[in-house]
Amino acid sequence: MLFNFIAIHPATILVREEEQAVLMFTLAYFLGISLGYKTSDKFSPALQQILLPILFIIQICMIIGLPDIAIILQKFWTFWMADGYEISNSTMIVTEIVTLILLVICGTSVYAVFLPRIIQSQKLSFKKFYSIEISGSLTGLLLIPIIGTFSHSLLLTAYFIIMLILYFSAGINRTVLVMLTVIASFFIFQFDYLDKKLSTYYYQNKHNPYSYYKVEYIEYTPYHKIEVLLNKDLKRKLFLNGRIQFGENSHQSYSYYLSEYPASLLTFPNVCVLGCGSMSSVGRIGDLSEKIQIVDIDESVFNTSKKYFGKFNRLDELNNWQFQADDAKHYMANTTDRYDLILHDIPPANTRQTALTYTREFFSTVEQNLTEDGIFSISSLRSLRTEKTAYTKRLVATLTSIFDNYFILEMRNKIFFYGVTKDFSLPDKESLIQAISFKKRKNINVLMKDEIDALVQGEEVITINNLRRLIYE
Amino acid sequence: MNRHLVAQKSNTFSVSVFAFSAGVYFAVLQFAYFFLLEAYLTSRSISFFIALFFWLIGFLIGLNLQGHQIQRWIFPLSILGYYVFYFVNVMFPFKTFTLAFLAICIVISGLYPGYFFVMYNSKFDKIKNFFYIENNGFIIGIIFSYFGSIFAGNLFIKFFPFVAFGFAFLAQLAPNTKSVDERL
Repeated sequence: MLFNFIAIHPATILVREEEQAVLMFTLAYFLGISLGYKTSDKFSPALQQILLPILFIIQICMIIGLPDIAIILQKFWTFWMADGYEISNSTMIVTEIVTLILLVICGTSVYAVFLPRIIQSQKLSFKKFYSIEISGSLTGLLLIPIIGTFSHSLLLTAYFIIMLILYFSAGINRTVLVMLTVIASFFIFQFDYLDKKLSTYYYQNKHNPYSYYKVEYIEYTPYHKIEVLLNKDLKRKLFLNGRIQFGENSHQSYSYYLSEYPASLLTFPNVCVLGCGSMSSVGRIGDLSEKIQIVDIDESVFNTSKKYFGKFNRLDELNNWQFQADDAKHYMANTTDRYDLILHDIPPANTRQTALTYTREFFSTVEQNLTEDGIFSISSLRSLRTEKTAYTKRLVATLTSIFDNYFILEMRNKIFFYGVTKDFSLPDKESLIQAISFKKRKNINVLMKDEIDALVQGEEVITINNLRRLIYE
Repeated sequence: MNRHLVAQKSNTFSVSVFAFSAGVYFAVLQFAYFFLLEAYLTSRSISFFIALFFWLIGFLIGLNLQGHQIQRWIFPLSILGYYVFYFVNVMFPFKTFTLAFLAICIVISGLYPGYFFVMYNSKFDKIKNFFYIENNGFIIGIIFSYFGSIFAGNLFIKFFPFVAFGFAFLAQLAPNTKSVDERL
């Protein structure tokens, strides 16, 4: 149970596509168990003395540096092939997947060996020993929210203590056990340092050394591995599960069009921001709004952004905001407040969890929480007109099925959609362009209702029944 | 091949089919609970911890249940528990109080998996084979559940657990898959 929780984040970073990562991790986890069951009676005491310590080391490697192992394998592959050989994208993906599956199988099979072997060999009560094993799972499950709240290192400590007890019970040689204890102690005490060093190595090799100079901060939560990275100019970037959420150089245009622009079309609005990230959108509209309600499922992301991105979100100087740690769906369905402006600042629909906030059902709830002259603002960082993907078209088709009136600001590779409620008096195209106060407004195209309808005509509306249409786009 | 050997092979095969389909059913049931939570209540991690915690509690109770008459009740109860939670969620979407129903329903659903392991382990020569076959069914169930939730959404929540239950139920009807207690 503990292993599952500890190893999932490195796996997610390695595969990058979160939904596939979770599936592959879960499958590899249970394949490992099957392998353990299958080979449980082939584990002679002599073999056990060799294999268990090796599996211990593999687990440490997985926990601390699964993405780095893939990078090293890719480098080795490049070296092996020939000078100047450039690794293809598909080879990289295959290396990552093979790394993940092999390591997870090696990591989990070890546990599955014991239960059938103990019951079979010692003729002990099945009921009794399976009950003990399930009680162990329950204890592990309880440890995650209790200990995990304090620190990830503490959770690792609990995990390795339990693992060493397991090894001791399995009769591992005392000297080997002492060595493993020393390795585990070193690992736990140096975890923060090693984690930052290996994360830096990963980002530098995955992207480029200039942009990813140093990892400044890491935190593990049930939802994310939160990382704050610095580039050579000491500008910060926010990463969640290995994906960039915020960069100091690129946020201005995004946060302006998502938040400040629609806020400027209203008078001192009551705002709700769904999903927080760096909260630069809050900093943008802090002075233009009466009240700002920030909602995010992960309170640690909020706390990290408050501490490291205060320059952009200005939470320390503003006093008209409040934060609620909640799932956006749950919050929208339960709040009795009505908002003049609702901002959808949730990551793209790459996972089932986020895709559920891009459905007709969710947008319908959002619309019901708007005042009668309110605006819903949402973006897509993919073009509306590309043939490569229908992601944005489907998203817009879904939104147009809910809102009576709307318009889009279209840029080269992204769009900002604004759905308005019935009493909102929508200005004409020219006025909407004039209302843009952002310095670069030359290449912006405004699309009104009729043009949007023509563009997305016949496109599939996203509901809970066809999430794949967004996730796999 | 003598008659005794043929009968023994047929026995092993039908029990294996049942263990496999039970594994598929347990995975689909558990993942349907999770997706139901995610879609109709909340994606907050605490709700998944609650679900898994009470599933394991049900499992633990099920492991310690005794008596051959129980099977005919707790097997259908496992699916009934799920559909009670489903209807409560559909009637009161995103209402936090439904977590209390979740705890009760998932304990009821978890009883049978625990009972199943105790009742059927003696039908296999080696316990590892029993675990192995059930776990392989569980893996197939995870794959069904994953693609079911992404490709079918509500259809998955509504029908997949019942279909998986149906297969497991049919497999259990095979003459040689009666639990040890039931044959006594």
